[in-house]
Formats: sequence, C-alpha cells, structure tokens
Amino acid sequence: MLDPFSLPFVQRGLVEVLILAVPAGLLGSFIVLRGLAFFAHAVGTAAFPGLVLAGGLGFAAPLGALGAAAAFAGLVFVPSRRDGGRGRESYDSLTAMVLVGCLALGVILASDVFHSGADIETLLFGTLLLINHGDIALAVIAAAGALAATGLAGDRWLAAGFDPASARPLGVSSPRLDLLLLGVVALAAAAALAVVGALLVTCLFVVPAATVRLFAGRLRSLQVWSVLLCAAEGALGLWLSVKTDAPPGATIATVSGAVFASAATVRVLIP
Amino acid sequence: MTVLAEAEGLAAGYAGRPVVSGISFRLEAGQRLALLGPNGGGKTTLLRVLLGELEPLAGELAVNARCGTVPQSSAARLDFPVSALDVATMGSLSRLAWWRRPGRAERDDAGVALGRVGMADRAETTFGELSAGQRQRTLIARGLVQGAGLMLLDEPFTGVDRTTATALEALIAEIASEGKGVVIATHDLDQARRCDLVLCLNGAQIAFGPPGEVLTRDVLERTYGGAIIEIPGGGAGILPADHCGHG
Repeated sequence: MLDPFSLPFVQRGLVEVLILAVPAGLLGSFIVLRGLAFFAHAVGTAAFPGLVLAGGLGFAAPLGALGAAAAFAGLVFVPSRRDGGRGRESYDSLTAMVLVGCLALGVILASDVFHSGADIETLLFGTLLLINHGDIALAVIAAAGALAATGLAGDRWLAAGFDPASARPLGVSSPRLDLLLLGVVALAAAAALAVVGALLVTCLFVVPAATVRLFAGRLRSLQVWSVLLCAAEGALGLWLSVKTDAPPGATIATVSGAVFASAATVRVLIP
Repeated sequence: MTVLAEAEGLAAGYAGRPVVSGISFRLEAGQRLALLGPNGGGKTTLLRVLLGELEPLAGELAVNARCGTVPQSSAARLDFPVSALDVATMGSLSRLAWWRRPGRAERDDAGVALGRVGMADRAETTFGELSAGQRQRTLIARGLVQGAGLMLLDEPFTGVDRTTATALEALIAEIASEGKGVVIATHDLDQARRCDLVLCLNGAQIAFGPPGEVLTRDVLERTYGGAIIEIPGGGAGILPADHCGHG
C-alpha cells in the first residue's frame, strides 16, 4: 500500500511537502486570522512572471519566484501604508490591482518575449515529483524563516489583528511587523511553487489552517494542528497522485478541499 | 496635580477636513472626563487624536501619560482564538522590547489585573464567549497591564445591562481614585453626570467643565441638536440620534 513512498523521487516529494507543512501551518494560522488569504493566493500567482523570466533567461526558478513574490509584497505593502494601513480592505484592493499587473506581465513575457507557453502548466500547477535539492533547501529556509518570524512577532501579529483600533497604544502597529508578515508569506509561497504551482499555493497556506480554525480555541492549537493537517494532506495527496497517476498539486488541493468541506459540514451539524 | 492631557483650540479630522474643532480642556490625575455627544459628533475622533493615531489639524495638544484604550466591543474580533488571559497579556507588549515575548511574569501580571476587574474565574474563557460587560472588564484589565496612566473608553456602557453598567462604573471610579485619568465617550447623560468633568461636543466643543455647570438644558439642546424630550412627570431625556425622524 505504501509502495509509492519507496520510489526516490516520491520520497523527495514527501520530504518537501513535510518541510513546507511547517511554514504553511504556522503562517497559515495568521493568514486566516488576519484576513490575508487573498494575499497568500495572489503572491503565489504573482510569482508567475518571475518564473517565466527565470526560464527565459536561464537562472534558477526559485530565485525568479522569490524575486517576483518579494516585489509583489512590497508593491502591496508600500501603498497600503500610505493609505493609513487600514488593514484587510486596503490590502485586498491593492492585492487585486497588483495581481492583475503581474499576471498580464507574465502572460506577455511567456507568449511574446520568451515563447515559453509549453511550460506554463508546470509553472501554474507545480512539479512535486521533480523536486531537487535546491527546492528542498529553499523549503528549509522558508520553514526556518517562518519559525523565527512567528516566534518573534506572532504575539504582536495576533494582538494587532484582534483589536486593530488599539494596535498603536499596544505598540503592535509597526510597519515593520506587517512587512515581516507579508515578507515571510511571500518567501514561503515562493518555496511552495515547486510543489503545487502558482495557482494552488492556497491549498497549503490557507485551506488546512482554515479547516483547523473551525475547531481551534487557542492560537497554539491552531498552529500545531494546522502544521499536522497540512503534512497529512500533503502526504495523502502525494500518495493518491502516484496511485491514480494524477497531478500531485491538484490532488493535494482536492484532498485539502474535501477535508475542509467535511470539517465545515461537521461544524454545522455539531455546533 | 499632574496634568495628564491638555488641549487648546484643538481640531482633528480626516484628510485635512476637521470632524471636531475648538476643543479646549485639561484633565488631571484622578479625574474622569465624559465626552458627551451624538453619533458622528466627534467623540471617537477626539479619542483617536488623544491616542496619537491622528495628528491635530490645528491647536495644541499635550498628552503626558501612556494611553490605554478600551474600544467599543464590536471593534475587537470575537472570533479570535484567544482567552481573557491572552487578551490581558497583550497589554504587556507595549512594555517589552520588540524581540521579547510575554513570559510567565507578564501572564502573572495579567492574571492579577483580571482579578482586579473581577474576572479571575473567567481567565481561561475564550474572549468571544464572554458577555459584553465581561469583555469590557477584560479590555480594562489589558489597559491596567499596559501600565496606562490615561484610560480611554469608547462607549463602554453600550450593550450592557444596567447592573453591569453600574459595576463597570464603580470599577472606573476605583481606577481613577488610584490617580489615573479616565476619558469616557458616552451617550448616557446620567453616567456623564457622575464624572468629574464633562466635555459636550457636536462637531465643535459646546461646553466643558464640571457636570453641575455644564449639563444645562441649553447646552444639551445645542449638543444634541434640540433632540431633548420632556419626560412625563418631570425631567428631560436625550432622544438618541438613531431614533430621530422615526416618529
């Protein structure tokens, strides 16, 4: 039954998804609490032009993704502060505008500059079964960054999200704190692109945490269970994809979506 | 007496347009100041400028104490996975260096503060499951942990029953008696009457001073735009702005 995990390329995929479960669960908790689900989805998608550039110019794809994701986070962050940093509404509208610009740039680069149309599906949906050591190294960096950032700033992110009106007197309204959150989400999303692609980053960073959020009463349990659920869904999705010869990114997304739907149903039936 | 906050000709608002203007007051340690006015009259804007969230558009403002804030209940996220103790502990964040997390000492402080506001037995209850009065008490405990010398409360009696409001009022009086300043934005004329000072505002300052001098019929009519009703059997009351025009 566990035959697929004896294959070396599946083992690398499993290691990658288990490592990524750490930043996905830790940061996913804050993504759902702070209303950053759209940003998390968009930052992955917005890395698309970076991936096209990397393919066209011949440098490492993760570097292209990371550069584009960091630029996206900056483009969303800077005007949102000028707008008074009013939180979710400010981020959402800016995210949508910058996202459209990034997608348009990616499409033009892919179709008219580098003619890399054949690679677009891989860019958008990931290649978990073709993971290399560089991808794993980037995942480890993202996990370490998420651990350090949530350890340092997690309490302040929570306090600012809980009561935005009091963030300033509580000393938790610093632009650096918001930039740190957006930055580590961008880093982790860039690392996840190899696994699930630009379009399915949400299935690692939002769906498991949103599922646990239905039941968790405290931040600590939300984080721990989100990491565990993400790891379980990633491993199950990978196994299923090999068994059914389906794309791994899409299979993981389907598994996490099904688990969320079941959990939400249980929550409605047993309040 | 220590002056905690003082304003002279203060104007504040958004995008360069004043929402309140001509604000002049002085608040000393141990005093409770009620901000009385209709919805949209500028009470919350004045609290925001005291907090430093808004810059004054004109005039002078000096705030000489650390501010703690108790927002309207609806401003805090009731769906967050935090206990009353977690919320009270958030008050310690302003005192800690940015790289430090609240530890055992800070949680002990928060536990003591919850005990002071009568919430010791609900410390582990999720914030969203508390009653409106208990949530206000928890947020006051957060201000105590913060070490605030000036507590700003935005309509703390909204949504709480009379018994809870009376208990909250007693707690606020106790906090003031320890030398802290308290500013309360309120619609409740009776509660304003029991404060040391009242500032009536409706876009601009109407009056400021002790309640006995300020809360006259003329001032209240100017503050509430004439929405004062006679109560059968004597006395008068304020018709809330939301009800004006509804027959």
